[in-house]
Amino acid sequence: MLRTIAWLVSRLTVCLITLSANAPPGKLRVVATIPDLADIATQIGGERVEVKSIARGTQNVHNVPLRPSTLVALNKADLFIQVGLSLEHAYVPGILMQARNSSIQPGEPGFVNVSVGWGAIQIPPVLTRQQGTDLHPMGNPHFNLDPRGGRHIAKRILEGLSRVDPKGRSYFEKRYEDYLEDITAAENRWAEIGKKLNGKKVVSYHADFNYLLAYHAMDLVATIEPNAGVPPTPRDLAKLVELMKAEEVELILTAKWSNNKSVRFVSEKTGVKVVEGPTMVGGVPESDTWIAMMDVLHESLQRALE
Amino acid sequence: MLTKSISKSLRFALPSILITLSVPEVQAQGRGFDSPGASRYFVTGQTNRFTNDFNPAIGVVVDAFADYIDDDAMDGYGLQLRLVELNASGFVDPDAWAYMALVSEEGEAPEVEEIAINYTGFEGNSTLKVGRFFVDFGKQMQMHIEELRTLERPLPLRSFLGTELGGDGIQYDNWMALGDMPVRFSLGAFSSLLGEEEEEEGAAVPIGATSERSDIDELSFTARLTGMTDVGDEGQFQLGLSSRFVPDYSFGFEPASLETGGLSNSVYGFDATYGWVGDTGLERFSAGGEFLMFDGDLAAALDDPTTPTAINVVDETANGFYLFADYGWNQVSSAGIQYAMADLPSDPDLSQQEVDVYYTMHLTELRRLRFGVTMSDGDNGDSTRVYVQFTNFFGNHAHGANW
Repeated sequence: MLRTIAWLVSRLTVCLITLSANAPPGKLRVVATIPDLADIATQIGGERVEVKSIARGTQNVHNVPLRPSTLVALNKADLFIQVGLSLEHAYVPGILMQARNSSIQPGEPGFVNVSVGWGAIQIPPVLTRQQGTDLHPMGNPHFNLDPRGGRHIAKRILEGLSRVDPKGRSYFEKRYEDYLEDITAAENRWAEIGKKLNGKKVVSYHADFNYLLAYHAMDLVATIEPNAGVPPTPRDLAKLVELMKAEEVELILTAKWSNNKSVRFVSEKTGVKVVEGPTMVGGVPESDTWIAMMDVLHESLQRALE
Repeated sequence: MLTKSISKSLRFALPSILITLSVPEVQAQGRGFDSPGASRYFVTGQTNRFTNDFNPAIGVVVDAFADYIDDDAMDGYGLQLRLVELNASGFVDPDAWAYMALVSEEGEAPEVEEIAINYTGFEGNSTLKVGRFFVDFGKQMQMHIEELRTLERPLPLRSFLGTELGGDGIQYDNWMALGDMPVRFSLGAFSSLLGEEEEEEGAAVPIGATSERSDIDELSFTARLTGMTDVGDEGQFQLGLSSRFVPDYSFGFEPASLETGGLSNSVYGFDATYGWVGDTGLERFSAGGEFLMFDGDLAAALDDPTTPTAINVVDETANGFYLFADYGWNQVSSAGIQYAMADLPSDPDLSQQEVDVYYTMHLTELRRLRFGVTMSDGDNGDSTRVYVQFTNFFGNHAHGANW
């Protein structure tokens, strides 16, 4: 019996030691909160980085379930990238505290907040829970869906990567320039589509498409959730249906996480088409990079409004 | 005109210059003036000059329920404001995080249920926690009662550890990475860890107590070892071992001046939990359970409740477990079932079973409504309880719960 236990303990020890030694040698370990940031970090970091995203593209970014491997990844990370504007305030401060990695704490070289320098919209004039539970005091944080967002995010990530890996600076800069060229080409495609979107009236479930809608001068008539993070009551839905009919809304925009029975109810009552767009990279099929996601989003809008 | 302006500027500038010169560089916030013998905290300016921005986050929790109980002994409707909790939390400095919970239960005077400081300034992943806090035992014993999936704590936890188990003590905690798997252990020492009992009004029962002053080996101890791992893309699994040891305590019955000392007991727990979160993060499922073994001097009874002459102590082993499954199908709704069984500490040959079925609505992130039925059956009597529970979180709500 004792011999069997000793054998089991020795095997277990060997397994644990093998498992602990899994760090990729020489690569910069990057953890990003959302897949958009992970994709752009990969575009710029190339072979010098290994990138992991905490959230998946289909999830509600306000409420991301954390996994055991996330804690370990953050503990070993060289660079942490977040959107900021309190988008991740529900889980980032806690997990950073638990991860006990001093080099990626706010203010340290390994911490990147890509919202630095971004001019946010919808900064609440009054801070009260009466305005909603998913309230962002510094403004709407969903600027990853702004066609200008990729360029801004890429710049912040370039700075972060160069800070923690100065030897790789020229490599990152070269890849950054190449990436900006890809974005420029994509922007031309989006501008063409945007001409057809101009002035169209839209309703969305949450305020996550606002930057995109504003960029193409689309008219966001209302959101289905009356306040951020608060599901609509039957009274809210009845008022919304009336408003949509009066305003002749042409489209309901939603995401996989928010395509729920309230959206279906409003669509049935008004006959308005629903588009389930990606809100993050990987949110719908064929949106596995930030540029591809923005392409899919523009094409979906164009198809729906034709 | 110019002379007047210079004189006016000097009138304001001189006192500022003098004050600035008298403040050492390290005291960036400055101070008014030092009166002889003032405490260091008063004169350094860090505690009396900041604005409200640096105060801890403060929150209030209100937990209330309405129920109907059909019991062997009593039945009827009840409406109760079960607890009001005032809590605060925040960083003290870059290396220390603190929190407190001041709780008033069932309309009684508020008590400090928890107040602890977590020191994280060590090299590596260690934390030292000092203060009054709930013990690191399993996953459901650490939580405050309003945070549980069910109205009450699972039966074996209530029976063996008490409705709540906190103490004044110190706890060392460390986690390490084994591959992608975090593994954590903790060791705690407390002045006393006799759990809070469910009180039976007017019952003639001996009361357990530890002495006010103890030798170090007479302190109560806790230990926990736990690890968790990803299971595929959407699942995770956690295993844990916990123990609580009270090496020296006594039972007393004051009306008859009876006491029996030199007693000890231990509780050991083994918990396993599986969690799954679907593609959107809204659909979720969790299932798990905990097995507990309670060993040593478990309970006591008077030899004769009317004219007691001695306290009889039960020195045996009692076992219990609970299993649960909980499924949430959207942002708002979830439902679950829990089965629990526990030997009675007063007579481990007898046992009690409990089944909880519940439906929870998260009206928003901060408001929760729960409908449930609890059916209890066994040697301690049968009962059925139907309830509606309402819990409201105003603002911050942070505890030092471990994983």
